[in-house]
Parts: sequence; structure tokens; C-alpha cells
Amino acid sequence: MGLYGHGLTVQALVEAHYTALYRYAYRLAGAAAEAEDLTQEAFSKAFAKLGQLRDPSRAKPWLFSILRNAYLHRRRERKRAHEVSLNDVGDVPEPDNGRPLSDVEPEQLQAVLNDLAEDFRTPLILFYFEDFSYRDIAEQMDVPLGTVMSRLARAKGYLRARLTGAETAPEGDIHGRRSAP
Amino acid sequence: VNCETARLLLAFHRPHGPELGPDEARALGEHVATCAACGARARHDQAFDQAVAAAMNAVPIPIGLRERLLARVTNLQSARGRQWAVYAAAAALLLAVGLAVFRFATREERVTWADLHALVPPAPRGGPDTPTYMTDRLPAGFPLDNAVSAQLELRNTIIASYVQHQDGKRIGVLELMKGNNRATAFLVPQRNARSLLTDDPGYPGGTVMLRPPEGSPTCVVVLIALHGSDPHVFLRPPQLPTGG
Repeated sequence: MGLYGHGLTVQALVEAHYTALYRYAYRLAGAAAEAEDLTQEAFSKAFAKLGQLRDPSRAKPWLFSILRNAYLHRRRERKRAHEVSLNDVGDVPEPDNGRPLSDVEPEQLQAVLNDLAEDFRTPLILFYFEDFSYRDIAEQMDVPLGTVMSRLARAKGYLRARLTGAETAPEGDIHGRRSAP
Repeated sequence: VNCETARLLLAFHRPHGPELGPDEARALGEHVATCAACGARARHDQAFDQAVAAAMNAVPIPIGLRERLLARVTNLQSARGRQWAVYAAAAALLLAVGLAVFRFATREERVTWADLHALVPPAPRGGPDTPTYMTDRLPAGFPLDNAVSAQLELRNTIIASYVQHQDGKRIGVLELMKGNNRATAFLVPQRNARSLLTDDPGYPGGTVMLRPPEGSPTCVVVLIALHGSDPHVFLRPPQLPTGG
């Protein structure tokens, strides 16, 4: 049952990737209940599409891609009330070398992520999960590598500004450009 | 590598990632080691990235999540199994119905002697025996012993051919003329003809099977009843056919 040419079963996928997938879902959605729903949905869809997985070594990015699509689908159904797009913001400020950051509260991080538009939030999450190269992220998001680099640079700058409370952070501009509900 | 390039490389540098090539990574390392400003920047970036990465991964996994996920996929598998079972049962049912319909539509109504006698009355009892009768009436040397020849001879005298429906059964009919005699040939499926020959009720006449010429794609069996101005008779075959 659920066995294909590559020998993978959906149970094996759950065992191997459920924690990473749940963390990704949580960082995307920002809430535990929705993260679990998304993880369930991702594995359900993976079960239905398991025959489409050609290379078992790519199972993790494949699952992440399924989960992100599920998230985007839900998100389209209930448009996010407020999030920040950095597309129209100028260059983010240089980091303030004088105030090194040694600790970040996960809740504080999530609050910043929640405010970011998905196309900036996703590369940031995948970047810090460290299993994903820039090229992996570009494939996940189906955008050119340069776009990923650009979005990451902006998102990291924004994140740095929010977390360090840098005076030079373009908070006013960013919040002023929040999309309408 | 100057400071500008170093900062650009730092932006893309990941401690565990393959994003910089070995030459770039080495050049960056050398610059950072000797440039106080870029060194501080690199340490700052690294501390920031480490702190954010730690926070990013600090997501508590709900208790029982693994079990719930496994239960969900197991349920899906069971549902799919049941779905396939339903499909298989439906397919089997459809196949059975289809076969039944096919057999009903193509069922072979067996032609009986009664059907044939309804078309051509049988020869009355007490008439001359068939060989004598035929020897007297057919041209000299008519090869009665050779069924194929007989068929070929008779074919020259076909005066009508049609399909007769007798009680819903299709019976091919050939009306033949030879001298003063007429013959009626019934065309029925070979399998049916064999049973007819076997079930010969013992009329004074008989049946003859005309074997088709060599290579004939279909083996139509012909039951012949000759009837002329004299009482109808059936030809008695030299021997009953065997096999197909």
C-alpha cells in the first residue's frame, strides 16, 4: 500500500519529515492548529501524489513544496489582513554593528514573520532551516535565483531592523505600505 | 578582495551552505581575518544568523502529532483500499452483466428438424430408397459419393437463395434445380448441423453434408432435401461427417 517504484511509503515520509514539515508550517502559518492542519493536508496530498515523486532524495523539498501550495491555497481563500511587502521599499539599512544580536525570542521572530508577505517570508524561513540552498529555495518558489537573493537580502534586512530595533529600520515606510484588508 | 566585495560575499555567505565557491570563500576568509571592520561585520552577521536560525527552528512539536499523522495516512490507505474493492466489485458486476447480455444477444437458436420440415415436408415413408431414386434421376455419373463435387454440381443450378426465419431462427436456404428435380439446401451453422445429423429422427430420407472446398473460411453445412415431381426424398449421406 502506498508503495511505488522508489520503494517509499507515505509512512516512511511521515517518520522522516514530519517535524521539519510541521516547523515549516508553523513558521508559515504562525499558529499551531493551522500548522498541524497544513501538515496533515500535506501528507494526505503526498499520499495521493506519491507516484509523482521521481527521486526519493528530493522527498523533503517535494513535501515542502506541497505544504507551501496548500498554505497558499488556504491563504487565497481568506486573504491575509495585513502583511508587509518589501517589493516597494528601498534598500534595507545596513546592520548596526554596534548592537550584536545574541538571542532571538521565537515568538518575537514569529511576530515579524507574520507581518511579512509570503514571498519574503518563505525564503527567509527556508534560508534559516539551513537544509535549503538558494537554488533549492528558487525551485521551491519557482522564481529565478536572483529574485531569491534579492528577496532574502530585503527580508533579512527587515528582520534585522525589527529584531534589533534599529533606528534606521524603514518601519514607517513598511507599515505605511501594508496591504489593505 | 576589497571591503565592498567582501560585504557582497558576506551577504550570500552561509556557514554550512555551498553558496560561495572555494576560491571566494577562501578570499573572504582572508579579508575578514585582516580587516577589522569586515571582521566585525562578519561576526555580527554570523551571530545574527545563528540567533535567528535557532529561533526559527525552535518550534515545539505537538505531543502525539506523529501518531495522528500516521493514523491519518493509514485511514487514507484503508479508504483507498475500500474504494478499489468497490471499483473491482463494480467492474466484476459490469463484466458479468456484459457477458450475460452478450451471450443472450448472440445466443444460437438451435435449428431442429421440425424447423426444416416446416419449410420442406419430409419424404413420405415407403418411397424408394435414396440411392436408387437418385441414380435413376440424376445424370449418369453424378458423384453422390463425393460431397464436394455434389455441392459444386448443385451450385450451378441455384435458382434462389434467401434467409428463412423459422420461429425466430435464421436458416439459409438455397433452392437448386437439376433436371426435373429440385433441391433445397439449408444452411445452418456447422455445430448445429452436426447435432441435427446426430438427432436424425429416422425419416426415410436422410441428410448429406457437403464439405466446403479446401481453404473455405467458413464451413457452412448444407442439409439437402431433394424433391422433384416424385415424392420428396432426402439424400442419405455416404457417411456422417466427423470432426469440424
